[in-house]
Amino acid sequence: MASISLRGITKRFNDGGPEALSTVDLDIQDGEFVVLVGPSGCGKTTLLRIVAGLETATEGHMLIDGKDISKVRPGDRDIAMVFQNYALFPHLTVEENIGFGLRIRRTPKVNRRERVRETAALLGLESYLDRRPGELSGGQRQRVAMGRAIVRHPVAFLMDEPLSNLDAKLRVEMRAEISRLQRTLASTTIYVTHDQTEAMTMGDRVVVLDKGVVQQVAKPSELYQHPANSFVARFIGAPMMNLLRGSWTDGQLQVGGSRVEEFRCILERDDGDDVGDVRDLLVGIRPEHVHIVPAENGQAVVTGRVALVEHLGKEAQVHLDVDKGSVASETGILVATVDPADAPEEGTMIGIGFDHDKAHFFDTASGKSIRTQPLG
Amino acid sequence: MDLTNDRTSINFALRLRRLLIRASGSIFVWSWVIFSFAILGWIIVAAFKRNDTVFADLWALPDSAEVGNFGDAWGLLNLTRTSINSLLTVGGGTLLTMALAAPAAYALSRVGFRGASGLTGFFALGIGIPVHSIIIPLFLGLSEAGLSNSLLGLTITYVGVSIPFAVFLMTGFFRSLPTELEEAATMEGAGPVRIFFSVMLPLARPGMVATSIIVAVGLWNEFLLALTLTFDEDKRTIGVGLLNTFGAMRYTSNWVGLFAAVVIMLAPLIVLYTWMSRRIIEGLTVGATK
Repeated sequence: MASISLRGITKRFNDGGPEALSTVDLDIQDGEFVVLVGPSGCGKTTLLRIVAGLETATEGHMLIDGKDISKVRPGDRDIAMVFQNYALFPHLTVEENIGFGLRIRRTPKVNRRERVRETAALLGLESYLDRRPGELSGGQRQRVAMGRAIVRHPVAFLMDEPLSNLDAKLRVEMRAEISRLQRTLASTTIYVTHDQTEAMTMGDRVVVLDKGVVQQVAKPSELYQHPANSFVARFIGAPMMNLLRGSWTDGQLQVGGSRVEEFRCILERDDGDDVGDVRDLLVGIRPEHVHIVPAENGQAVVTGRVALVEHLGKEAQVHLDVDKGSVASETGILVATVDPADAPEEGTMIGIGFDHDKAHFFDTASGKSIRTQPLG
Repeated sequence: MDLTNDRTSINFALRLRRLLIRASGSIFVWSWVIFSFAILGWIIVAAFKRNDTVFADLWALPDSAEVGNFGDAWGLLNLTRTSINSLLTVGGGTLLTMALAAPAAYALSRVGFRGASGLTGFFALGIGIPVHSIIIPLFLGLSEAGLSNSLLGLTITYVGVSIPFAVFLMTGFFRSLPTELEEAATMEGAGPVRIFFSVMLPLARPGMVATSIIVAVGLWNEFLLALTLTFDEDKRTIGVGLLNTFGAMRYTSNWVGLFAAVVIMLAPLIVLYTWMSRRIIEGLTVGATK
């Protein structure tokens, strides 16, 4: 396995056109599982394809173990890729598909057979070696695609949304299997997904991208607890974080037009100084940190009518229709996760409060995170 | 209430319109099918009749099957010689055409070099050139090359006139194949030639089969080039042989012999189409819905 470094990777598909990727710098350690996540069109697949060599970067370099391989052909980079649609050769058997790369590299037949069978055993494919991809289920095909990647013992694995074509149940199973395999092989892996659940559960570190720009690179827990900006805050976590409009005036926090009593924190800029007296900001509160209180309760920062209650067994998600001016959301909906026993009836007017020490703050204009320091 | 009635009558009018369009299309197609089968059926039945009764009652079945007509036709067509010539020129022409068209089509559709789209257009233009407009220069050119009145010259000409269509059809087919397969092969270390032979060509088999059949059928039925570019009896193809049969028939009035000759000429095509119709349709339509 190897470390991979990306330096200043920029990609423009047309001269003078918009940047699909903008100055991406990333260091991936040997054996690390890094997930690239973001909405459709954010550039994550483009970045993966540049690492694979299937696309060339407009600017920037890529290094493997310190060696610049930007101009090296894809087949010579010793990197294996698992494609979103598996890209299995339909006219070849499972055995021939898995051994395709070994055959190209003129591995002796005996060795090739042995390695293919070992890999098939690792993936539970021994009894399918004579079948063709058309005779396999989605999960089996996915395993064959992984087998083809694993058998060559490459320095790194690239996976482009390999679970997106599977049903929900199989996706959960294969997620665990991929994680197990990666730990067993101790392989350097770059994994692309638009599913933040996959990102959070599988990655050692997660790279969040939006519009070709890296928003944040951090461990999953760090992303969840300390998002760098409002985009990351909303993208990571399900249901997504609520963003309420607020302001910081004379050391007092106002949310939705109401002063938040007993808010015992000060807000700081990145350089550590106090943000100043007056500032519009966004207050981010995860649904599980929202409390439901009676509408007339003084602790309620916003009030609204319950539009929908979704019972999920162990919890209930309450969708609250609030004044659109109070929330930074087109729908004007705020979501709270509560115990099913405490879920209010649809149509009732309720208020919400929140855990002060769990709130996140973002600059309204830039979306950047504003740090908080507890007072006393 | 009024709105509901209006909606119902609009839906009915739309459904009726769709039904009429579909019905008129079906009527046209089935009319053509019935007409074609009627003509074919009539010729086949007539080939088993006698000359003195064939036109007496056009639609009557023969009293007894005159299989001797086919023996006559075999002789009239000089079938042994002409069928060998046709097999050599059509078979050789088809194989060579596919050997050249397939890699050309792959390069044009997938390799993406500068001028590829212009070159594709150039090939497509070739389909529109009627062979009648080039027959004289072709004849002169082959004469200069010492290839006139030869099966080799005819085969080379067949390749030349078939390549535009074959490239056009195969280009569309290659375009329909997923690009990830090539990318996967590239990641596994395969170069362009290996990718073409190990991945793309096997996947292009339905298209290759369909294109080969269409090219072969066209060449089998081809007449003008064979008539013009060959003039010795032992160089004649089956289509030209049929012309000779027709010429002879004017003196002998051997209509049933002529019909038998037509049936002999059509038989391989009918067998081929019947056996391979699914592959032909598959090859022609595989890219249509992607």
